[in-house]
Amino acid sequence: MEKFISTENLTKIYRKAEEEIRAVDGITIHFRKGEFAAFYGTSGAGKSTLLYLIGGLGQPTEGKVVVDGVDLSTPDEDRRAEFRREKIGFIFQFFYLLPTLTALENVLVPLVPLDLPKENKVEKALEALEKVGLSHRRNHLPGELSGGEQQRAVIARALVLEPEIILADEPTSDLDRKTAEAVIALLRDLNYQGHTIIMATHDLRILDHAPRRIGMEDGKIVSDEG
Amino acid sequence: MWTYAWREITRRKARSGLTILSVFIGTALLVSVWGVIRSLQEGVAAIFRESGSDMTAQSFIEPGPYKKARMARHLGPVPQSAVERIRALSGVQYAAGQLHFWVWMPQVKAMSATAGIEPQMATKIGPLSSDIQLISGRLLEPGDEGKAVIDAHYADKWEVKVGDSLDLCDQQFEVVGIVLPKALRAAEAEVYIPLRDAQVILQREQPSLVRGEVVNNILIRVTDLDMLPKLEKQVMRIIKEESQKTGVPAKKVFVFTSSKVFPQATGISVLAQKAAQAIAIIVLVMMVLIVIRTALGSVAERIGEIGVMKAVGWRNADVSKLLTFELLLQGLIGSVLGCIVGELVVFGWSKAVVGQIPHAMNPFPCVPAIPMPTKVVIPFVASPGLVVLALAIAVCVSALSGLLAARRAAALEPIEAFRRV
Repeated sequence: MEKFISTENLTKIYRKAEEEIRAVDGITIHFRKGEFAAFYGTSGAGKSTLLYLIGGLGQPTEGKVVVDGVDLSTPDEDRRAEFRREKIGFIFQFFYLLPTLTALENVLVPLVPLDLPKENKVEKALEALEKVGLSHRRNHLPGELSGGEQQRAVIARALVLEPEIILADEPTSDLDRKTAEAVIALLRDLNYQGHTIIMATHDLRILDHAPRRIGMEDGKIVSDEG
Repeated sequence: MWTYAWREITRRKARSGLTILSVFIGTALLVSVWGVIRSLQEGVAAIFRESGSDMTAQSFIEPGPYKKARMARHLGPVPQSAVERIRALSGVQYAAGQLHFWVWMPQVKAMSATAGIEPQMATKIGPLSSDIQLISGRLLEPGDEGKAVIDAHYADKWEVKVGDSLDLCDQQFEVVGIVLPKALRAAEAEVYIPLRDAQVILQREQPSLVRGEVVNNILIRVTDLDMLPKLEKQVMRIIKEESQKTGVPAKKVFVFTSSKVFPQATGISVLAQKAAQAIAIIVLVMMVLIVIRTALGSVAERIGEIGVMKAVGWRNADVSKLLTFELLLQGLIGSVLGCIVGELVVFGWSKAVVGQIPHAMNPFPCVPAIPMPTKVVIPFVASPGLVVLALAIAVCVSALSGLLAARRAAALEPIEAFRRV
């Protein structure tokens, strides 16, 4: 199996006062390019932390994570940031749209530090909004969008730099069934287009849409099907 | 980045407002306190500058009896040799002696403020050396005897013109010039005559006080203002020593410089001046602390947003640029407003306040023909240097706060940021 994403003995310990929480506990797992996989488990199982470590959003306490040949366990945050910009798009549970910016401006956020002409940036952002069917709401603030529209704006923001990998943390948790299915359909489409998609969810309604399902409990993998 | 920074400032009104207000108060206080003091200093310094001097020195005695002529106020005689000794001091550019006295004018039943001046020094130092307007005639020249130059207001009031004769203690003086001063200056008088003539009049009218060649006011210009304190002591010693020779020793010797006259002229003591400056500095320090505290609070408040920026590929330097830019923008708004208001306060103050120099500097009788020249007009002195300094401080504080905020944001891993949210 070609290892596009792989972790080895990946461990993340959060320390709070004298308490130690092993959020991810010695996980070794691999993903192929173009795979669609989902972590599932109860709240606190370590799904989000594992997803974030795979995305280079934090440094593991032990072990390592390698994505497309790049070791993301490095303490160099700027190197990880550049890698994320090139390869990874994030979809967050709570959307994390910047409330003062319109949908279009939110989608532009990943492009801000790039040395590109403004017109090109806007063109890319509009394309991403078009892809998720939200271009007609581009000038609306997040507060003026429905939950589903906000999630689509987040997906557009994740897609704007055309990443190979999309990491989605509970992408449907705050959405009604119909909207959740629409979001999943969008993710499936992206997977068909070649994006590697890994999501974390405890929403059993959408789990069946993922060809590979990985069960987690207390920071460990307890099942891996598909 | 501009759009985001501006929206953040307008969205978080309380936080941005606090930063802007802190910078505003700090810079406004800095500019106004220092600006007012500078304007006052300039007003007082101009009095000396207008007479071409940096220092005036006088001996004080018990005043003599009222006669046709008497020494002005409490001024006491100092031998002219004192002027020669002062001229010889290292650091003295010019020194000139004057003899101020009041003359009873029976025809108008008033006293006139008259000054004997050294004609050869008149264009270098003294009330006629400044940027005055010669309305008609000429100034006093070396070798003049029985000639007088008069103030334009005096000429108007008593209807005197060039060529007229002026009776001073039964001695006739030909008016050779009329001058109009443009600003208040030290050692003014209504009538100026040659020093020698003044000495003759006073030797006759007040023989117990005036024996030989004496003066009662010495104007001094120095080559280097830093030498003033040292020269001040030397001048005092010379006047004390020399006044012993007159038989009328000085009860006190006064040396006036702009810094010594400042508290009396402005009504602001050195202590009050220092206190105002200290308060401004304390407020400035508080401004710095508030801005830093607000900046750090802003990072804590926006932890999720900073996490998102990093997640989508912003490097620490990008986040740092944004936070610093936001704070710089707030700092600039606050400091520009502060500088404008500070300068307006200085302008308002300069228009509302009138200072007063010690009467001994311009020893006029109580009811002079011309307006008593002791009121100091405070000029509005715009302080571009101070404004630049205030802006620089505000920008530095904002940049420093931005960097501290950025450091805190940089230390934050996105994974940690999302957990905290």
